[in-house]
Amino acid sequence: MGSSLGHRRFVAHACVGLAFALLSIGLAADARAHALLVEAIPAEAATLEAAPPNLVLRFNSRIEHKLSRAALLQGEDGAPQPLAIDATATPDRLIAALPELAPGSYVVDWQVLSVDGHRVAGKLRFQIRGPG
Amino acid sequence: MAGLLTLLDFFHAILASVTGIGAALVIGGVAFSAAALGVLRRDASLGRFVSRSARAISIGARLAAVGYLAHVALTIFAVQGSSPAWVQAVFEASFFRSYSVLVAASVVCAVAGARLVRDPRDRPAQVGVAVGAVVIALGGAFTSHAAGWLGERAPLYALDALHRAAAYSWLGGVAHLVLFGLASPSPVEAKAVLPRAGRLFAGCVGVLVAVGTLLAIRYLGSWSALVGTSYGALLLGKFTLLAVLLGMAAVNHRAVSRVARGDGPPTLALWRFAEIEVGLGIATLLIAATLASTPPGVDVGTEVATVSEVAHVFTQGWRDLAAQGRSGFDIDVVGVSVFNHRISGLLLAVMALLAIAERAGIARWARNWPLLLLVLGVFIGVHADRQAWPFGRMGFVESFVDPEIIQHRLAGLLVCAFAFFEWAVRTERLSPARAGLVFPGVSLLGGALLILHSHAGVGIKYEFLLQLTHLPIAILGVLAGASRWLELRLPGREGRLIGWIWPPALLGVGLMLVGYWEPHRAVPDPRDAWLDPRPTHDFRTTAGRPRANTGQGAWEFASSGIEVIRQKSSADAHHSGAAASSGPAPSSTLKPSGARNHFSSCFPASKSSTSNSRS
Repeated sequence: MGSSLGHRRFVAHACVGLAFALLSIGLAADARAHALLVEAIPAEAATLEAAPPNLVLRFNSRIEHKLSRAALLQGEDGAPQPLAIDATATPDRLIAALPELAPGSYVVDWQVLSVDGHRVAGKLRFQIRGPG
Repeated sequence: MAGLLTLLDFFHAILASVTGIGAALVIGGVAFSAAALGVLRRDASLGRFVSRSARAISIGARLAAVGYLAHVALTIFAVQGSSPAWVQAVFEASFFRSYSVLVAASVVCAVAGARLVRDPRDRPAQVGVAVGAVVIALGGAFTSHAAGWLGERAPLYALDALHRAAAYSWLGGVAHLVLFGLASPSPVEAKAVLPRAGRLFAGCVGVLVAVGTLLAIRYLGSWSALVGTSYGALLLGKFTLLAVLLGMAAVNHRAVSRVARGDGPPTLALWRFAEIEVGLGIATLLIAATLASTPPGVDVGTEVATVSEVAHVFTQGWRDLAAQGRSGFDIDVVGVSVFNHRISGLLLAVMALLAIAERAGIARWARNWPLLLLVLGVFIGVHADRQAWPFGRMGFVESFVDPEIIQHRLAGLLVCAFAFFEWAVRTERLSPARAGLVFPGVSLLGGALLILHSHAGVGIKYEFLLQLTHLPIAILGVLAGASRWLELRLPGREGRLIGWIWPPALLGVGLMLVGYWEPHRAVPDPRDAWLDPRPTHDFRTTAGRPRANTGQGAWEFASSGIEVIRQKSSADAHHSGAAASSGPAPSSTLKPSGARNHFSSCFPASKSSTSNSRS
């Protein structure tokens, strides 16, 4: 009888644990996005004659410039080339100078930290077609 | 590395809920001890209760301290770096400073709380706990939306801190009231404490409603955002729970007034209602934690859904079902997600009807209704994610990297366990006193889980409308749990009457699921790449799911009814943005882009455009 009670107690505890685990996973879902990227230059999937002078990502909240970063890749599998972030940009913008770019496909791999401590990351793809 | 960083996001959210509960125990404990237990009046007669509350304060403070510390550690790991400049940037970062202050305040509360357990009259410890609690309320504001706000932040910091202090004092205070009740107070002690607690909670609610309204106005920006954004929907969910909490508080207030007049000791109902207030309070805190991670409605811009679009989500499923007849339950016709929802709804509706039949004494055999829940558990665990084993190409072990799949699997397991307990209780194999509480416990937790699950994808209209129906279902789940809890814990006519709430609530959940409908996704979900047959483009190589910045024009409502953009081929999608290729670099914004030239009926006869695998 004691063993049966112990077993039932164990099952009950396991259920409570499981419920909390579920709850935790449910909570996890909300953390996928906090700061919203509201504007990007160049735009996602844009095809351009030439690279703009700066990469500009505008968010709906303040970001920590010194703890944010961006890297440029030629194609999906290119070697990441870190971009220098302008630490003096307005609080909601990540601005980085872009180098001269040859025609081809490019990916910007970015990550920002909002001032309330949420990390947000993403990728931006664009193409340089060249003049004409 | 990317997978590891996703896990970090995952743990951050867990920590947010842990710290919220810890902070509520601390701030609620301080408020309750000061105002209700007479610490401010230097009333030593209630010392044993102060000591008990101090223990809970100390535990809450430790919980909060660990949560804050872990949050800082995980954030530092997430932003990765090692150079001296990076270290300096971390020390200068707003989050680091805010959380450091919160950790220090929590440690002070934990230490001072432990001293108060030994000596409730220790004045320096009392002051330490009080100061720590105030700092936790203030510091929390610096980790909220207020910190990231682009306009004037000072008023928002003040409002947020007040809002936190009031909410934690009330919800945490009720938890301390339950602790007081568990310590078997004498009628004299109850008469001294309960009226003071009632006044404290009433004051907190007043501040909470006033300040919460101001914050809602600021963060929503418009009435339309209240109905048409995730942030607004979560607020509505929070209002609903608060309304129920206020109703219960009003009933308790009457009971407390009787005690204050000396018309007898507190009734059992008072303590039982307080228990449920704690449960609903935790659910409310979880919604608040989700709100903190959801972009304010005012920032969503053109992605706000209209009232008619929201109404369409709730009614279109039934219209389709009427038109489709039996084929409305054919997976090849309606798609996986709608099929999953409708089957689950059907099972729940039948269970609810059986439960009603059992309660009404029509059919005793109907008490076996939880067995249908077992079927539902297996169905959720196995069929919810067809991209994974045993239906899809994603292996069993491999599927556990996706939090949503893990969630569905655990949900299936939980439902099975829940089914077993409830069946055993109803067939008198287990005592309802303890095993019976599994049902309300799981319903409350499941409802809270669904509220959070509902808004996994935040901000953009498609994600919002897709999961909109989850919110009322979750609220019904929470109410069903509360009803069943009170039925079990409150013997007699009151309990039986309250127990009549949960079967119709369950029926409501079932019917909402049967009438489930969702807009179609035009930008593919990368996880669909795991579905068979193998797609032409392997989305596993892309990073993350479509978000506001990439999901523009993903769907659209037309005035004559809902129409959505047909899923474009990868080549089409790739070139559609190439139209404006000369001149200045185009920018993409939250406003849906102009690439909206492909429309199709929302409910085509074939399954081709209903390939969303989410449930």
